[in-house]
Amino acid sequence: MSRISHPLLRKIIDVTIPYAVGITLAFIIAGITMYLTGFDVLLSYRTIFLTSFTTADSFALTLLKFITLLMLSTAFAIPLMSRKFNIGIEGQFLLGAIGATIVGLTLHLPPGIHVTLALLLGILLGALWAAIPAYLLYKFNVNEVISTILMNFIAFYLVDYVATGPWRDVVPGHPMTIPIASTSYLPLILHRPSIHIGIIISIVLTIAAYVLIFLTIYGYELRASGSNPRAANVFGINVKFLGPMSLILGGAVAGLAGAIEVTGIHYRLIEGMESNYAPLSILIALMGKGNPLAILFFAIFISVIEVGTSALQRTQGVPVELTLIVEALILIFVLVAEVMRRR
Amino acid sequence: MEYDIYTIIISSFKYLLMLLVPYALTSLGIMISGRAGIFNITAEGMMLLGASVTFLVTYYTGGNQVLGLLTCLAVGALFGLAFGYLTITLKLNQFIVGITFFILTSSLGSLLYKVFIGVTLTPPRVAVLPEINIPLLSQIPAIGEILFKQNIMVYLTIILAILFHYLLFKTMLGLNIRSVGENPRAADVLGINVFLVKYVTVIIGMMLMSLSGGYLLLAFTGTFTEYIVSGRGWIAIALTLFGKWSPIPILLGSLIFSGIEVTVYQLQTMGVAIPYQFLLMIPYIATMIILIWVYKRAEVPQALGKPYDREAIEE
Repeated sequence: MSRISHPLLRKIIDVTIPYAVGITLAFIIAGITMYLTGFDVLLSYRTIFLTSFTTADSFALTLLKFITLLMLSTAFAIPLMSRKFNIGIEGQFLLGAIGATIVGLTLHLPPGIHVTLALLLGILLGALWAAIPAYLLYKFNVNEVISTILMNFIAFYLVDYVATGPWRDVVPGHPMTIPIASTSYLPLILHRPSIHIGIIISIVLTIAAYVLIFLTIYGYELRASGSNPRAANVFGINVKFLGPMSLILGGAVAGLAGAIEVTGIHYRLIEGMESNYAPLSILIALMGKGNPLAILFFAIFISVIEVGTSALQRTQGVPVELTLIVEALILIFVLVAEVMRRR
Repeated sequence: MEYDIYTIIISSFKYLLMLLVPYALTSLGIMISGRAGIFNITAEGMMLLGASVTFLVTYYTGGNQVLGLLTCLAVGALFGLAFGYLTITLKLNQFIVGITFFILTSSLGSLLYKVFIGVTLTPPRVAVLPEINIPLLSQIPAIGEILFKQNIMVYLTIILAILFHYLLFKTMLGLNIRSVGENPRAADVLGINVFLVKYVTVIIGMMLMSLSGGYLLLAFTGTFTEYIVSGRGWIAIALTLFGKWSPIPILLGSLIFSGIEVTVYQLQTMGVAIPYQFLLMIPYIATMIILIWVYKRAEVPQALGKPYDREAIEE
């Protein structure tokens, strides 16, 4: 490696090598495991990587997953900048979904205004759900890892309460509410397969998060409060306030993701709609070190794998948890490779 | 509506002790590695994996619970070793590794079950742990039924807590463990093998978390679901803080969390006029409140969460 003298090239290689190593190793291990448990490895890998690109429908499905994963990863990444772990994105996402459902079911408004209000209440409830652990962190120094995760469990039961209450749709057996008014649907930018405007919202939001984190004073202070809280304090940065504030910001983004999921895909609140999104997104954000642009890239990668693995579950019976395991292994190997290279 | 109050009280207290075990075991595991400076937040996932492994091994060996639990201990040790390598040798951030391991172990727990059992109309079941009747003592009315007719893990957990207390506070080994968690540099200078102590405690800790999951399965349901742990691993972290990283307070504190669960269960069966969803939220809300109370007087090992670097220049 010492022969490469160009500094930028050198830096790019330095950053990418651990990822290449991590991704390769994780897939080798997954491949060996699949081989040993009697699955056709080559066929499986073809399904995993290519399903997203075989039909227009599965490409659309990949995009829809990408929207949610991108937003939830960003919701985890913003607090991560000040070394706060927002494991509560799942609960905040669900509260956002509840918020959009409430507006969609109770109000009668013209299309544009109705959906905007639905998204806004989603953002508000998501932020509020994060504000509780944020306040406890600010006031009592309660560890946000535990408190945000406890809020997730409370959110599950809240969803169950709403989905089995007066709004319950009794026709399907699974707990879910009746459909929201069509005026609260998110506008589509593409019909058949349908892609909603959330794709634009999520990408704009991610770029905004990048600008916020790396190009504003708030972002600078946020990163300083995470990387060296003591020094940041000396320089007059309000460390005690920034961490909790970033959690609330993350909660707002996660809430928006939940509201988009309701107004753009399901058109109702469904129990279990959180799927595996939260753990997938947490790992995406950690892989990208919280950098929104890196997250954008990994969110595409993981969406493709996730859609591929879902297809694999249908054809070969490989459980969907495979994506999470591969993703966790990638992250671990990346972290290990980085340490090894530094030595 | 006819309630036999006597039976309800007896069964509640019996259940209280049975439910103490998962909280206490997991929390003791978190505590012992925390005492040597490693904050391991994998518990929730490790418990699920432990439950899954215990079920599969017990099921496929025709009901051999001992083999099931032994395998689950071995899997715990393996993950403890991996966790130790990443956080002790490579000095990676313990929270990041913990979150990743939580996701890895819980996914693996679900995946293993799905690969081997799959989706079935009626889930396969293994026998639950038998009650052990302690001679004479179990004949005492009420008390005997509650205290001396329990499964073996209830007794072992209480013994383990007392043993850990003795080990940590009355022996040289315990002093060494604690000094590694308080001031690893000083411990190193005194000739204590800091890395070995950390590795051993992390491995033991992870084994206890795994065992706790295996117990949940064998003591209550006998069947595996993804919801079998349902937050108890996270609550155990709160319990560890509440118990000030000490075995006896943790054991007593686990009675509180177990008590909350039993109360919620009884309220549910009694059919109180509150929607069941709000009843089921109670343990999590109570844990939040306990966390607030705990942090006002937080006592943690001084070097908790900080990797130890022999070559680093002291601040």
